[in-house]
Amino acid sequence: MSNTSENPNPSSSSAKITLKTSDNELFEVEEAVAMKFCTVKQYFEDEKDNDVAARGSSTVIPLPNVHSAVLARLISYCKKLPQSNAVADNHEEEETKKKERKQYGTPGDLVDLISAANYLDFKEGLEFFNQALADHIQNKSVEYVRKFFGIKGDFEPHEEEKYREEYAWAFEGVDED
Amino acid sequence: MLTTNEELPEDLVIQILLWLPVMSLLRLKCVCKSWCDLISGQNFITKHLLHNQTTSNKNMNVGFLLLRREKTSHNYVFSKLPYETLEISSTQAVPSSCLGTNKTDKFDIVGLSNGIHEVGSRTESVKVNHKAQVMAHGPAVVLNIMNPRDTVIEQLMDEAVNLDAPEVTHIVGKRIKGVINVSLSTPQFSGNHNTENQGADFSAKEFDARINEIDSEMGKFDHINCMTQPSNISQDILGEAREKQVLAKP
Repeated sequence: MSNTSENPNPSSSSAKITLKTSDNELFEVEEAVAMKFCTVKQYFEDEKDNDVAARGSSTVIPLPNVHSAVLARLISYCKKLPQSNAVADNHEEEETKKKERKQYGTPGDLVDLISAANYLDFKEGLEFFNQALADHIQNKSVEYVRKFFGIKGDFEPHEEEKYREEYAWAFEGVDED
Repeated sequence: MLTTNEELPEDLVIQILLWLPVMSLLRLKCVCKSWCDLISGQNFITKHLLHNQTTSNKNMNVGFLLLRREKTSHNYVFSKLPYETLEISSTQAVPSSCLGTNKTDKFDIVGLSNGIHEVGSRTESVKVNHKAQVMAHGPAVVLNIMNPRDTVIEQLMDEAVNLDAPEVTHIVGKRIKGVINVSLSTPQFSGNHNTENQGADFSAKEFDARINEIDSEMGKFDHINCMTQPSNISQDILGEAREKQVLAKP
């Protein structure tokens, strides 16, 4: 993957920041985008204090916890950001937003995106992807959710049975896995 | 299907769960003991409530809780009436375990503005001899409905009638900073109460005072503010709901 190390928009006057992912890919992103990642921002500011920032985009900020595929998705999300977290006024709009949230990959991808957004301290992104994952598991069975999160059920069978009977209504209408 | 071994740290799992509706959460309590404790915990309940009030889905789950008894089966059911649509959605049976087996024949509903969070755990009782709609804000709002059969059956047998019987109920449960436990409905109907209610309802004045109190604490949430004229809102909603109800009848 060649990524965006070549500036796709040379006429842009905004500063660029280079990010280096866990798989050693270099991403040159606009400062405005990179600054949404508080971890990057912090790093950048620390560097600034050390007067290294004078070298501008030649500073490479390492992101050892983020894979290039994930970072590419996060950046593409950033670019669409403005309307993404607006309040949904009605049901229809909410449905549209759900669809939009679905576009960001499989549930597994979402887990990666959430971890990365968390590491990067990227608040809007974290909310968005959390919500996307919640959409996904909302109607899933207990078994699915266990498997998904790698959790082993530790209730005694009779305890669980009792609970399921008591709250039978909450177990109805569950999606097929 | 995904088989992930990548465990998300608990704080991230919590943040994801906050986006889920109450019904999903109730189901997921069975995932494991730690999730059960987490979801049942006051801390999470509070967060979940605040989350629903402040985030983009804040309007999705707010509405009335409708409790009634089915004409044919005599089973108790509850439904949600979202503010926006006022359509009766997701009617569910009240779990039989919540229906007292003793002579007093009572059951508890713990409600939230955004759904029923817990059914059946009682923290305090309020006597209400009949009721149809409960709008509850906050976790651990408990309505213990003492329902002498005669009254309840009379009021709830006819599904159309039960929409007519709102009343202000009592504020119960723990108060936690930032979270209001209140369930209330239209004070103007309180004239219809009989004396068995024993102070479970508020006067209009008390009601206003309470609303002001809520406002000052929760001023930043507009949907709480919109309750400052609950009578009108409720009345309109009731009128509309009743029409729908009647229309829905075969």
